[in-house]
Amino acid sequence: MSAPLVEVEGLAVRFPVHSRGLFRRRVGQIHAVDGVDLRLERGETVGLVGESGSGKTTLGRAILRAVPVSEGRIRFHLEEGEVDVLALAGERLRRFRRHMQLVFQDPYASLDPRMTVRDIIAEPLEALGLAASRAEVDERVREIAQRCRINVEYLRRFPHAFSGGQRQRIGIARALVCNPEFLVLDEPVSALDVSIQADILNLLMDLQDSFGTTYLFITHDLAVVGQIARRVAVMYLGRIVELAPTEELFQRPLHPYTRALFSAIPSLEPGRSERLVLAGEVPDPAHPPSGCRFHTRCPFARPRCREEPPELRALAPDHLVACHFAEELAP
Amino acid sequence: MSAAAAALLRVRDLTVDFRTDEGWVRAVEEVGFDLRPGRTLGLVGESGSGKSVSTRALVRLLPASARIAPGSSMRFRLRSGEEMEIAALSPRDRRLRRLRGGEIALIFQEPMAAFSPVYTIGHQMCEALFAHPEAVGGRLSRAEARERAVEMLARVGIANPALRFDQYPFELSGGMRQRAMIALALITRPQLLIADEPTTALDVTLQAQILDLMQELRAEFGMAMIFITHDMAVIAQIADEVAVMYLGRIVESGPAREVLRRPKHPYTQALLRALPRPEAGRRRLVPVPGDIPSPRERPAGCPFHPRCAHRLPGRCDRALPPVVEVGDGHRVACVLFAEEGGR
Repeated sequence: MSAPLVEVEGLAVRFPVHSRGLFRRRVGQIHAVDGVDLRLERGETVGLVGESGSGKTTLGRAILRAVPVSEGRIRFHLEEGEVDVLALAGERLRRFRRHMQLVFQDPYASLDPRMTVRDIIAEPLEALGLAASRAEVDERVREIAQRCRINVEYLRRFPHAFSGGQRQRIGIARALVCNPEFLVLDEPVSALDVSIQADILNLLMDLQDSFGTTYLFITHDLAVVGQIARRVAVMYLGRIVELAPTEELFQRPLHPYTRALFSAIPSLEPGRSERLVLAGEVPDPAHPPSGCRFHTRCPFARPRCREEPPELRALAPDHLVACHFAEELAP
Repeated sequence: MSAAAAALLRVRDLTVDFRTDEGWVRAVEEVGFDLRPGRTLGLVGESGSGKSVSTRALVRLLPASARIAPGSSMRFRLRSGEEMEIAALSPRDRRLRRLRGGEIALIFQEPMAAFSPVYTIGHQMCEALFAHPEAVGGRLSRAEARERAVEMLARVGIANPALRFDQYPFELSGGMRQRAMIALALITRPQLLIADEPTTALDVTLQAQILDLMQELRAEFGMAMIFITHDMAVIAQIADEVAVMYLGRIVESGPAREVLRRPKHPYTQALLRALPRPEAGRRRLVPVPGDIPSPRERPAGCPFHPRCAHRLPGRCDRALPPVVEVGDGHRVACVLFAEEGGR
């Protein structure tokens, strides 16, 4: 096993909930991420899957220090040594950002319409002072644009002229321009037409082969994650409920929630067999259910599930699951 | 064929143009299909294929810059049995109000687009009932309308319907809002429901719930449905017939099962290949090469030929391909099948 690039331990993100009115008293908190452990190995893609409200986006941003972390540890193992990311602040944190970048979901909202494509891609280089001269910036921008299959003729244009797929290529080029070791991709293809999704996924795989970048790929779509991830973590209400190598997870999903996610994927074959349809929606994270947080929607819930939160434990090597009854329920 | 005689809706040669600074741009061209009562037609295509514009034309909700070209026909059979030529109505015709929301209802990707934010859900449902007495069996009293609305909210799976009746749309969660929008659309028991990507923005779990619900309601109310999506897998779950659109034209149509199993048009085949399969294993996908051209730069001949791996130079770039019937009700507009003359 190669050395991990990113190690996350006991990570928690809590947002305060304020009352309405003049004094905005603090009346509670939302446990958006609640004690997550995750290791990402160098050059691998880990898929992070869950519904809206599962905390997957918050977890991704917390690792990037884009939201305040309440508790836990985040360590990067870089060539120049180990970095405790939560200990960084101010200028040191800003300078560290060249190692970790984010690609957004919405390629229409995430690009500044007043900037040219060249300036959008160049911004991280310039903001972080990573290039000595304008000529050096231009050269780097051209190089990464070509790698991301953006026509260099387009660099002087504004983003409004481009389709969703082209915009997402611009967003990826911008994230990669300072050669980061780690990329968080937050639903990067969810807003795109199916025909364009395939193109962007292929591009991401090619870029990873060239640069060895480590990806945390956030999505609600298991089908997409199957194509690109080596391992998959399934999140529910702030916690990881299952973590396994992709093939293992697809062949033998152990958590009832993971199984429900699989059976919700529309299949090209009409009249799918034996479906596990979840009732209702993710509960309010300000008031998570007691015990196993999934028990309110779980078709197999028993009294113990209401009382005792399940540990994330290994049922097979590398296959972790947080369910009291995973052995019994395994298909 | 008797199918045509029994059709609820017959669309022929529907062509819609938009006026722009650079002249007229064609968004929909010579679209035609039949829809029988109680059936679901899936309209598939990428952004810009004209699938939404065609259905907006059906309820005459096009922007002022749009024009339905002469020769277009959209014949709809009203509940009364009378046939209405929707293309011939003036945009201000009073009969359109009876059609919209009464005979034909719409739901959208974004439920907030269907609701006014300043009235309660119940108020808006009752207004729909009062606006369409002909559709709901006469004028209802406030109490009767409330009762029907609460019943409908319960039917679409909303817990505490009497409480939700008095709430505003923003007070509902995303899934509840989607259900409430369906309740609002169906409260008048329309004959046809047009669903414009109603599940595209939803999580897969919620999408599965909403698709199941729509199937049930369609069967229960016996309404017909036009379901717009860019996802072939959603079509497989919900549609009886499918029409694949590309740059404003239908390139392939037929029974959904048949078209998905034996797609003929290179574009349909490409769309199916591009779909990520729920299987593990890192592998390259096969995207549809190139981008959709702008409708301003419509290619001559077959609209798909610049992206098509099977194009025949000198033919596909010259003339529109003929529409060939390749199976029972399975039609494809592609020269590759013109010689065979069907199979």
